[in-house]
Amino acid sequence: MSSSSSSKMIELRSSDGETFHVEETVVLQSETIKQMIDDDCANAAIPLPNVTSMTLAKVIEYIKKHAEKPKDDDDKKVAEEDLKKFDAEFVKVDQESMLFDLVRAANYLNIKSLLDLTCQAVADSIKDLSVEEVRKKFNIQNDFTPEEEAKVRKENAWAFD
Amino acid sequence: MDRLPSNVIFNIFSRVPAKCLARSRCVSKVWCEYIDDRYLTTVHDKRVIEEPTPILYHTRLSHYRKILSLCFHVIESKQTETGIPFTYVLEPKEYPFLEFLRIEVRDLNFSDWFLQGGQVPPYHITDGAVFANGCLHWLVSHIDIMTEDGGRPVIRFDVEKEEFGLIDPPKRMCDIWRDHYSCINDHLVDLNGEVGFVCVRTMEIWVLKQKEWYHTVGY
Repeated sequence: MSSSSSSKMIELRSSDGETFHVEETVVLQSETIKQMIDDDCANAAIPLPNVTSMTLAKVIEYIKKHAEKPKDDDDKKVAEEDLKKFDAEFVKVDQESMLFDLVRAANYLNIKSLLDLTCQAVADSIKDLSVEEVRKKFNIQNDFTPEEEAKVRKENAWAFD
Repeated sequence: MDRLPSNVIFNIFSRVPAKCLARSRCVSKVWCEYIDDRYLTTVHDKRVIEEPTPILYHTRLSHYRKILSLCFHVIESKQTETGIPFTYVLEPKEYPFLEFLRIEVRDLNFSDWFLQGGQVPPYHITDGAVFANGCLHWLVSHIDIMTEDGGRPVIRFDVEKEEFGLIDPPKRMCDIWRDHYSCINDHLVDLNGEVGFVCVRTMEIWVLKQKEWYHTVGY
């Protein structure tokens, strides 16, 4: 097996022991894995102790879609639109924790476009929520005393209009 | 979310609009620390979010002598049926929890000055601006003042001409404490539409007329 073949498969192993086979050209979107391949550390299955099989499956779905190459210029426009739709749907996850898992995985695997996409999705979800809703949605303990919170609220009173 | 690496949290917060960030300081202490962190002001600065165009760029020394970039932008403008008065509500953009400015501008032939930005004098400003006679006035931060009598000049921004200028501090009648801190509590006030300069240490007040200070109260 030499590097000349574009269909060389890379084996990834999730934290819960599941293995995934992905084309090298697709998986190169991950800077972390690219580095491993460059360093010749990818001959056996690559262990990803920080990524569960559920999250890894989603990540692979994403990088596969983003690896598709349009045939010509007309196709390119269609593909761009298609990709936008795909991205929008991709971050519509049922569980907030899934979105954070994806953020974490994108950060660990160093896939910039996926990190940007998922961070934007989290930011967008913060944007329209009240303070109480944010705490509830992200399961955040309010560690301010009532006096401290009143003080911070007063400092930012203009933002509560 | 708190368990995410800090670079990711900064990445997320940098995509949140300024006003929402200011609100989000109330969520928890950890969030408040992240939002107050200087790094966020840097990353937030780099991103172009669909927000109004900035009018003024300035740096400011906070209490901890961190240099922060301030950028005010118009978040609201109101116009009556006759065309005047206008109200422009400005908020500091990258450091959103500082007090914001509310400026009412009357009887002015208004151009799009707020889109222009401008040349800012090399001083740090404190507090909000006082608007009088077509100019915004800020007091220069006391940290910048190295002169012996510690007087703090005033920066003015002519709204119509879009020009910055500097006004020397008033001469104090009884300035016996010639130390650096004697001017720390000075501030500007709105005196019935004129700019007032208040020196708390010496209990004196001046009013600004044609770029000169006139002593009004003192002993």
